[in-house]
Amino acid sequence: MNRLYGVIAMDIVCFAIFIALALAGRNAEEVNSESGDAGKSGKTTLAAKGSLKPRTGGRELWLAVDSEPQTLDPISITDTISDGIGGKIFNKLMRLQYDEHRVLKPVPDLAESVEITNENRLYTFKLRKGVRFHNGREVKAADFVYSLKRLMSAMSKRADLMNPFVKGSKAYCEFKSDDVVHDDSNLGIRAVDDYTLQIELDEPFAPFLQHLCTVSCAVVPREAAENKDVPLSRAPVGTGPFKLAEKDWVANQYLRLRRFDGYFAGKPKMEGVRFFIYKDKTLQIKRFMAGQLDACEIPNGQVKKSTEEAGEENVFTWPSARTNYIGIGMPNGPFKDKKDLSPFGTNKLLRQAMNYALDREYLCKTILEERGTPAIGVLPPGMPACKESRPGWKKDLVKARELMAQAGYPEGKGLAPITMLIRNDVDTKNIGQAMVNDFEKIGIRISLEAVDWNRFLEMVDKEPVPMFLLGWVADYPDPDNFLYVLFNAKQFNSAGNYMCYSNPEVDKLTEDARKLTDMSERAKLYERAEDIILDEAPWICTYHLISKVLLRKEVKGIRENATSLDTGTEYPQVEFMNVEVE
Amino acid sequence: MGTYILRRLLQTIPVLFGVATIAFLLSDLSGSPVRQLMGQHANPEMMKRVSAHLGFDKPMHVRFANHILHLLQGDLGASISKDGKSVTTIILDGLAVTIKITMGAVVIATTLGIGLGIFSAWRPRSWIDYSSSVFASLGISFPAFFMGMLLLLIFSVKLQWFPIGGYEAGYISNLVLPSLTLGLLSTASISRLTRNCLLETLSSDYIRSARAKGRGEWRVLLGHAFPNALVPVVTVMGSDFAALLTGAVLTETVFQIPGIGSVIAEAIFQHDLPVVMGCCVVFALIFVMINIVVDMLYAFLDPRIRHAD
Repeated sequence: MNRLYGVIAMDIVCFAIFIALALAGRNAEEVNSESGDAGKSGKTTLAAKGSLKPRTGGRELWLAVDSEPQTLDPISITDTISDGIGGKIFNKLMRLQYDEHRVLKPVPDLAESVEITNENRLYTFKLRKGVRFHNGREVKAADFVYSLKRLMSAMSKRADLMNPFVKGSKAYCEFKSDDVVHDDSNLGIRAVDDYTLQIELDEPFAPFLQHLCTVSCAVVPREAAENKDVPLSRAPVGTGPFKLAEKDWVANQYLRLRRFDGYFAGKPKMEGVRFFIYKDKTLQIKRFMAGQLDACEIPNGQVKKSTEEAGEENVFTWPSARTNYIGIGMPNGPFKDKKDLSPFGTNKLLRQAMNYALDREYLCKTILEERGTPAIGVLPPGMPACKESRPGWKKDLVKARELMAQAGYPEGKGLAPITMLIRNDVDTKNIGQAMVNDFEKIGIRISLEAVDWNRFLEMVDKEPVPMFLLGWVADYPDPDNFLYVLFNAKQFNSAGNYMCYSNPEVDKLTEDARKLTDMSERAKLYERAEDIILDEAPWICTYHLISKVLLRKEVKGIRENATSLDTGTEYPQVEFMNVEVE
Repeated sequence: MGTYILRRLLQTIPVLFGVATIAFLLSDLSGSPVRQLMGQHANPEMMKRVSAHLGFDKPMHVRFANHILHLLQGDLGASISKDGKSVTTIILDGLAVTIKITMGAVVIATTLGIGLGIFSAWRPRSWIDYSSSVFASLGISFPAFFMGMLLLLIFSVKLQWFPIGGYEAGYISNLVLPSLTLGLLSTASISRLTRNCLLETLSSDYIRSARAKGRGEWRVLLGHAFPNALVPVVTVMGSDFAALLTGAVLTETVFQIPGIGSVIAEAIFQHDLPVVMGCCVVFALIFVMINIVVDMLYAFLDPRIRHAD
């Protein structure tokens, strides 16, 4: 009998441990808020009653992200979530803002002004005085020198923002040193005085100011960056409107950014921003509907339902700087003897036929639920140099069949089936299948090969694959980020030109355009380059993305300021100090 | 007993070494994580630098030696996808959550499982037994994701008693349904096993003697038969506990709970090799340790079992 009591005792102990563990880690502050003001936040109400009750009041913005940020150290940021959260914590020399013509342009951020001299090779930045890091120290030009050198260190994942454009950057990057940064008098980054910074380039590079708008170019204090006990990636110290204490990053649950009262541009309107980590988008929607999130993305297939449930006033739609496409691998450069590539890589008419076979209207309306507009070219609308009057391609099966016949494959006769590489997720499969059905009508038989993202990248890095489905959202709002990065022959494979497309005229046009600063001059070159690319069709441009999210109407300051580079709900480009929750 | 425990502990070393080796080789075969880390388009020169910084430019045997050397010092390394965060911290964060659910599940499984088992053995082939049998069959045949969704549908969506998913520390309401899902799966096997062991024990001579002496049926059942029927039940509970702890991947996915199952699933998708390898070693350690504890429990439950020193 004693042993029976033993089992019962073990059960009681287990139960006690369960209760104790379950209650452990409860934030004292939140417990207080629950007792003091039960209705203040939905979370406490949820906990108290176990059911979903709307949140009322509260001046903290609640957003959802799919996963934890990989890092909050600017020099390691390569994913959109880290970019979005980092954007609230750090400042750069420049930031992006719409001008009066709704064109995104770099404007000074921590710089007060910028002067470009020496045939567009010398950038002199006058820095704002009185800007403070979250640790209270004032930002000086030396901090920028340190931060930009650190961006070129061995631990950085974004040295390509400086190297090879900045004078001496290549040699600086190749120098082996145990220190994070080292002295190099030949490097073109120097502090003239405490508030003047100069950056010298080897040759003119038009998108350089845009590079400086990237979160990776943010200023960080050396004392925090080299603190061995707490890495910057987990406890970031910046100058931004919000700061993150180590205790406020609760693993796999949320990150709570609090207002930085010493922000140089004034006190942010909100008390903080909280990023809840919910992997499942359906869960995000449910939390939004229950009033426990201020914004979340809408999963595929739920646009209509979510819009009806949340009400039109809580849906926010804006265009993205993104073009989706089918890429066609070509036997160029080191792959010119590659015999097993499909005839699509060598026969322009086949690619053109694909352009007319695709029903982009149906794709955008039905499959994407109006979260896309039929593509008109490589550059998405709103991008400088985008010729928005381009007609695009209407579905025209007669013309498509004619082109097939001219290509030597009437009705697809003699054309072997081809495999299209896609990412392994349900949405991409649906989109891919709709396209496959369209192409089948003119005799092009395509089978989909779905692989995980790592495998996808490995495959397209190695050599041109016959056909693949992908999209590209601009890193910075400049045609260079599409037309040079993705189509220049120097960018083969992993650098961006997965098709291994090569055209000497396009190469020259995109290289010349980099060296000019006048956008109207550059636009002419880009327009010509895009004309050639669209005619040769290494890309079958499919659609330009339209972002559509649920965003509570009570949130002010995001709708007005979201840019085409803000594709999710993290809004990396939006100045959050002016955002408020009513 | 001391020597026995020591010997068992020493035996874990080759097991862990084997697991670490296999985990390393399998992870290595899946390719370098650097490409995915660098985003869609990456300058080849940059990839080389990052590879070198993370040590992926070294030959496999050097990396393996480094890995084992660090392991011997108790260092599981640093995560790649979570920029330098220690693997030990990541695993402990995940385990802390999973242990909570597992504890709840153990309470549910043992209470309900043993209870049902006793009732079934008390009246074999009665409606109680048959109902319990149906319940057990359902429990065994419902996969965790189905059971989880069913419970979510009933208790969260329809009745709104519990949150729809997600996790926040300090609130029991988040843990009830995941614990129930996990617990019900084990309840089934424990109740069947308890019933069968009890029935077998009940046919022993000493039970007949106890009954002959006029002991009441419940006293015979609980006082005489049950303790001796417990040994196999405890074995199953032990391995179930380890399996619950390490196998909660599906349940955690359904309920969006950031436990160890989610940690390993995410690490696999992101090719975060140090985390995957670390999880394998920790899982192996958990299994081995729980087995040792279960073996020692035998001696407590059944004095006839003595471990030879």
